[in-house]
Amino acid sequence: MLKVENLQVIYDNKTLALEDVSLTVGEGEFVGIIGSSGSGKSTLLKCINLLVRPTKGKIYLDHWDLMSLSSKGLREIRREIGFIFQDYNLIDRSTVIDNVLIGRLSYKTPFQSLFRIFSQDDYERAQKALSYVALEEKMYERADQLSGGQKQRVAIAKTLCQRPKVMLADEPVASLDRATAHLIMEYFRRANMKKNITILINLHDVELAKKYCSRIIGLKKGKMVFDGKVGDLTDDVLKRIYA
Amino acid sequence: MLLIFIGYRVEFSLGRMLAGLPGMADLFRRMAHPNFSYMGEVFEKIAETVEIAILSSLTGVMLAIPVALLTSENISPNLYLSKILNAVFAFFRTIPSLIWAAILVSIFSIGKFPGMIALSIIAFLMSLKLFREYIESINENQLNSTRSVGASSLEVLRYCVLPNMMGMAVSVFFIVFETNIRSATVLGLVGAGGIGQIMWRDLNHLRYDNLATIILMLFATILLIDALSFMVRKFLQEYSPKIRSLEHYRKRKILKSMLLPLIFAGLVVGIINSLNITLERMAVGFRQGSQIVFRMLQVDFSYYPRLFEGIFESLMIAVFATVVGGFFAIIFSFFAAYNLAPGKLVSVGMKGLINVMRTFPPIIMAIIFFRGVGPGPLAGALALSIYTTGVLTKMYSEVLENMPENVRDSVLVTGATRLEAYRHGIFPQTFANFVSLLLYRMESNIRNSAILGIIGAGGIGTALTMNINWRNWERVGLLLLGVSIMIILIDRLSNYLRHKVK
Repeated sequence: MLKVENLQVIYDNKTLALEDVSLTVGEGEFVGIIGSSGSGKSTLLKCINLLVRPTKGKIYLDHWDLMSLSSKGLREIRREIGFIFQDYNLIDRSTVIDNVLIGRLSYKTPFQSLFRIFSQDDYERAQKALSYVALEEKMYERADQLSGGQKQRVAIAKTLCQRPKVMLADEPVASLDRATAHLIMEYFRRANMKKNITILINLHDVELAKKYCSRIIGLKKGKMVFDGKVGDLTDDVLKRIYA
Repeated sequence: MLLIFIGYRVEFSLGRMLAGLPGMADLFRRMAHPNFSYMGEVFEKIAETVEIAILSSLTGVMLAIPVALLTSENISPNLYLSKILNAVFAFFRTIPSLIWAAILVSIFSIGKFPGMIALSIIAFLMSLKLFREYIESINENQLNSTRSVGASSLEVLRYCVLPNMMGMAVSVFFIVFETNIRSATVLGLVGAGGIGQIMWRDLNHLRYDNLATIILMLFATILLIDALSFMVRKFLQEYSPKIRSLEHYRKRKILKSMLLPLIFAGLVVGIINSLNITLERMAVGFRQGSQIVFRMLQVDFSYYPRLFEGIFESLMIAVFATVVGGFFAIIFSFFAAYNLAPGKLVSVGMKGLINVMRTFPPIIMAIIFFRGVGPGPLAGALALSIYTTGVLTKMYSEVLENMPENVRDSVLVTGATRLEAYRHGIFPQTFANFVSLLLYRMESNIRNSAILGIIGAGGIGTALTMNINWRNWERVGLLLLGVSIMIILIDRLSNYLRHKVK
């Protein structure tokens, strides 16, 4: 369903971030992307929903060619692709439920969104998403009152409200302690199993990747050096990725 | 050495100060009998002053919100537009409020309307800077996280930038308001409405009893407003409504998003009405204004000797006030900081004293010094020194109070007295903070010294008001340009030094 062909990204006309990366991801896969910092993991994910525009290459989601979409078409396709950041990026002064409602924005007309008209249905969906990550009782609190793990759960709820086909997560647990990291990873696993959402996740912790992902992609200096099942991820391969 | 030179430049003379003492004492004696029957008129004028300050702060903040969205470089629709606008606004920001008022009085004639506009401009420029700094501090990922749900750029503004800005707008309003209430008290000196008008009149008529009434009431008003603004801010910070159900919350939100634009529109209508602007007056003002601006642009460079003379005097007044203020602040802070002062009572008393010192705009203080040392740069320099001492002591004593206790204790355990601990442990420890505060004061003093001349207390302001009154707009153009360049240079220099100290 997701296909990336010969992707190349050059920042500021000089820094080569990605070089000739191609991959195909099927529906319902749980893909972990590993590699040392600066290997192009973030850039790859950000290309998939075009937060970063590739200098060369093609990206397809189902039958859509993302690079040739109008800005309206791009907004519609972004609805299908949820994105989770390492630093949560919630709106601090807004309440938790208002943050989750942002996930419903792409279902609104410009008039509705300008005057902040969310329907009963939107609110119920937001509430359901929050109960999915077990944060219903924090619904009316301000986002900056939450702990890091709770903030990331709110971000997941927001993304689920979009009803995405694909979820991209850029180091979602890198700033969390181990126990919380596992808790968050469990939410990704459940979204993958129960809702059949395809997941691409950047992780610097190889153990976490081995435990939760079914397929691993290894990046090194912008090039893809490994693509295979978790079982094939031998120490030799790891050495090649991180050396 | 330096101080002696600067002292000479501001015509410092102990003899004159001593000779002036009886005059000052006489002034205070006469001021000790305020004329309470005068309170009615004063009250009316104070109400007008407060009205000007509130309305202009509101106008400025409301205008700044949309413009900030346009000029912030990370979200601006056009980078070049925002760069040009920012340069223009940076230039305007160097022009003091009283100068704006003086020029606007020439355009719209005497009354509170030009005062309103002048303070609105100041409020606008101040809040624009605060908003812009905030928006530019939003990191790219925060914007991206809203973009990635499929939001348009308008929705990113509405849901990502605006919620934080609205919360900030309240505190920005109060910061601007507390500055504007002080500026509003002196607007009358150039005929732009408010309490300053009758204050100026009473001074010229030597009615010190009336003046005392004004100053007392002004002091009470400013204290009241500071306290009020503190309470409102605290309330808003801690306010969290009880929500009963999802439906309840949804209805509240709908009500809020309908009500806010209505309140906004209501305020705009209210402000416009209160000014009783007529189209005719606006048209006349616009015609005169464009003529004045056109003439200012034809800068008269041959006037430069007076410009350099004035700027040099202003600079000297500012440096004198900063040095003297800095010296006293070091001493006073020790007694004002509650964790260092020899007793609680000393600290409270000292805090009271510095609050009095910093409540009055320096220009009012200068008027009081006229009685003692006569008009001229010395009166201005002394007034600004007192103000600087007050503000700097407040800020530096807060630094001392926020310092971790073990810094102080680590010196105290050696058997040193509190004063020795301050001199040898705490002061060196916080020296960088002190210098940084001192440099901020220097920047502010430069701006203040530029307006002291309006009442004849020396510096570039004298030349400015004279030429504004005589409508020599070509010369005003040169003076404004000079003042701006000087202020921008000093800001740059102090910025550089601040980084160096850290």
